[in-house]
Amino acid sequence: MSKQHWYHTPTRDEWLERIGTLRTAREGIEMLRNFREQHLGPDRKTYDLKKEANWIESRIEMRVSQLHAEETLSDDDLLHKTIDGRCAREVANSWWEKAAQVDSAIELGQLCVAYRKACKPPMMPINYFAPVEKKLVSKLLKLRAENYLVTPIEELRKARNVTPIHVQ
Amino acid sequence: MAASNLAVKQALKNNPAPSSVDPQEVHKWLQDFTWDFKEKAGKYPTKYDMDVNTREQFKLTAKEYARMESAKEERQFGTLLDGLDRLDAGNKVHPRWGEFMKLVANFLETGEYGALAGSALLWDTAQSPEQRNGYLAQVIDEVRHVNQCASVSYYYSKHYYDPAGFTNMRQLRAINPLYPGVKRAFGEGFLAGDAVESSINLQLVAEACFTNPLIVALTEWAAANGDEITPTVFLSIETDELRHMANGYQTIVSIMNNPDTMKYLQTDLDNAFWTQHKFLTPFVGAALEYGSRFKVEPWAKSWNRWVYEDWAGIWLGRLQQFGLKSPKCLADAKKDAVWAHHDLALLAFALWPLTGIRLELPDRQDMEWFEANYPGWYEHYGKIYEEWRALGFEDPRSGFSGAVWMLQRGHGIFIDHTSSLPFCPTLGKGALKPSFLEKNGKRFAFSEPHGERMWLQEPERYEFQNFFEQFEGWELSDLVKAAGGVRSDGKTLMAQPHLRSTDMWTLDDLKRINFTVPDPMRILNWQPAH
Ligand SMILES: [Fe+2]
Ligand SMILES: [Fe+2]
Repeated sequence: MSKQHWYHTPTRDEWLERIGTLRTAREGIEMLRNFREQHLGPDRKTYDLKKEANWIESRIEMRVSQLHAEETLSDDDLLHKTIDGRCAREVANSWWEKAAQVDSAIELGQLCVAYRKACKPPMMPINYFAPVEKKLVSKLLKLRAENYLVTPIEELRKARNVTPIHVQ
Repeated sequence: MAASNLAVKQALKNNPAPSSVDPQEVHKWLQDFTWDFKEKAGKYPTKYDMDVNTREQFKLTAKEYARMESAKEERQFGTLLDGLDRLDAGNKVHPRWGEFMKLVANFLETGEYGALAGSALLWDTAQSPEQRNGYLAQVIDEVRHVNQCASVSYYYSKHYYDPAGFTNMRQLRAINPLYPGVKRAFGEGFLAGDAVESSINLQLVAEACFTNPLIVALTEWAAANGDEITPTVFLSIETDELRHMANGYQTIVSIMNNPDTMKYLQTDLDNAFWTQHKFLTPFVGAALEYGSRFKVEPWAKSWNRWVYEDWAGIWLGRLQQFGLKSPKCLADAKKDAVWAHHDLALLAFALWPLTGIRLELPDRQDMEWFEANYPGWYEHYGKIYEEWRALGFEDPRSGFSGAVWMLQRGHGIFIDHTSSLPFCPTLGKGALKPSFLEKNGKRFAFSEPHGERMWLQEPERYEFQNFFEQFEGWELSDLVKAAGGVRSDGKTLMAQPHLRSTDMWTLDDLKRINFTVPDPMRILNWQPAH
C-alpha cells in the first residue's frame, strides 16, 4: 500500500493539531487571517500547501465559528456584528464606499480579494457579507469585460506578475 | 337520467370548459405574479440589467407544461421498460459504443445538473415575471434530464454485458482526466460568474449550438452501432431544447434596451463559446469516431454544418441586429474540429487505466476510414497505434503503457489550467500554441492563448488543482485502486485496453508498468537535449 491516503495527508494532520490548540476566538481570528494571507487567493504568498489550502481553511473556519458562538451570548451579536464586535452593516458598506472610487479592473480585483479575506464568514455574518460581495463583483465584472479581449497578453502578464518560461 | 347528471350537463352548457388556452390570457396571468423585485434583488452578480417587461414565446404556465412533460416521460419509459426489454436491446449494442456510453451518459448527467442550477440562477436574476416563467419551465426540464441520463446508465447497468462503469463511473472523477474538463464547461460555465454569462454558456452556446451535434448526431451514431436506448432517451431530451434555446434568445432580448450591454456582450459570447468548445468539440468527436464500429458522418463535417454554418452563421446572424459578431476564436475552433478529437483520443489510449472504460485501438478498417476522412491521420496517429499494439498494448503481461512510451520519447503531457484538460504540445495537431507561466513558485500550463487570457483576466476563477499536482508521487496501481477503479473481485480493473472477456488487466498487471505519477511541470521540456 502507498503511504499516501485518499483523505488524510501529513499536512492535514499537522494543521488539525495546530487548530486543536486554539482556545479563544481571538486566537482563531489571528490564525485565520494569517492563513488566508499566506495561502489563499490569487495574491497568496505561497502555493506550498497546494490542494490542501482550501481544506485547511475550512477547518480553521469551523473551529473559529464554534469558539465565537460559544463566547457570544446574544443572537443579535451573531447576526449583526463582525467577529471582532463591529457593526457589520457599517463595515460592509465601508468596503463598498472604497470600491466606488476605484475604476481600474486590477485595483478593484485586489480590493475584492482583500474584502473576501477580511470579511468572509465567520469574520462577518453572511447576510451582510454576500450582498456587498455581489455588488463589488458586479462592478469588477463590468470593469474587466470592456477590454477583456483586447488588452495585449504581455500587459496582462505584467499586471499579474507572472513570468513566461520559454521551452525550446 | 339522474338529476345530478342533468345538473352537470346544464352547468357545462352554461360555462363550457375551455378547449384551448389563449396566449394573451396566459401572458396577462403570468404578469400578475408581482414579486417585489425592487426589494428582493437577485443573489448573483451581473453586468447587465434584465428588462422587467421582457416577454417570452411559450405562453404556458408551469402546470400546463408539466402535463406535456409527463406524456413524454410515459412514452420514453414505456419504450425502455417494455419494448426495448423484449428486444434485448441492451445486448445488441456494439461493445465499443456501449463502453463510451459509460462516459457520455455520466458526463451529460453532470451537464444536466449544471443546467438545472444555471436555469434556477437565471430565474433568480430575471426581472420579468413572464421571463421567469420561461426559466422555471427549464428548471423542470433539467430535473427531468438529470433523471433521464441517470436512467440511461441504470438501464445499461441492468442489461448490458459489462455493467462496471455504468454502476459507479462518478467514483472515478478524481482520476479520470476528462472529469475536470466537464466540471469546467458544464459546472462553472453554466452556473458561476455573471448570471447572463451563464445563460450564454448554457443556452446560447451549449444548447443552441452544441446540443444539435451532441444529442442529435450522437443518436444517429448510436443507432448505427446497435444502441436503441440512447436515441429513445436523448431525442426526448432534445425536444425540450427548443424552449431552452428560446430562453437564451430571450436573455439577450431582455438586456438589449440598456446601452451599456454592448460593452460586455461580445466578451461573454467569445469566452462562453471557447469554454464550451474546448470540452465539447474534442470529447464528442472522440466518442463518435473512436467509440464506434460503424461510422456515420465524420465529426469535422457535422461540426461544420451545425456549429459553423447553422449556429455561427444563421443563429448568430439573427443577433447581428444587436451588433453581435461571431467569436474571434471561431477560426481556431474550426481547426480543432478537425484534429482536437484525435489528439484527445491519443491521450485517452495513453491514459486508459484512468478512464474507467474499455477502449479498443483502431484496427485496419477504422484506419482506412480515418485516413479517407482526415488525410494525414495515418502518418501521425495510425503509426503510433500500430507500434503500441506491437509492443503489447492489449497484453496484461506486457507492462506496456502508452503514457510511459510518450514520456520516454520526449512527449510531455500537460494539463491546461483553464480548460482543465490534458494536452501534448509535441504530438497535438489541433489549434495548439502552448505557453508556460510561473507565479510565486507555481507553474501554469496553457494549450492556447484564449485560455491563457481567461486566466490572466480572472485568476481567482481558475484555482483548480490538476491531476499531476494532486497525485504526484503515487504509484499507478495504488492510485487506481484508491480511486475505486477496480471491479467487484477487488483486483480486475474497470478500465481495459481491449473488449475481450479474457486477458483482463488486474492491479498486478498495472504494477508491472512501474509508473509513478510525475509532475511534468518540473521538467517542462521533455524533448531530449540536442
Ligand atoms: Fe437539459
Ligand atoms: Fe437544456
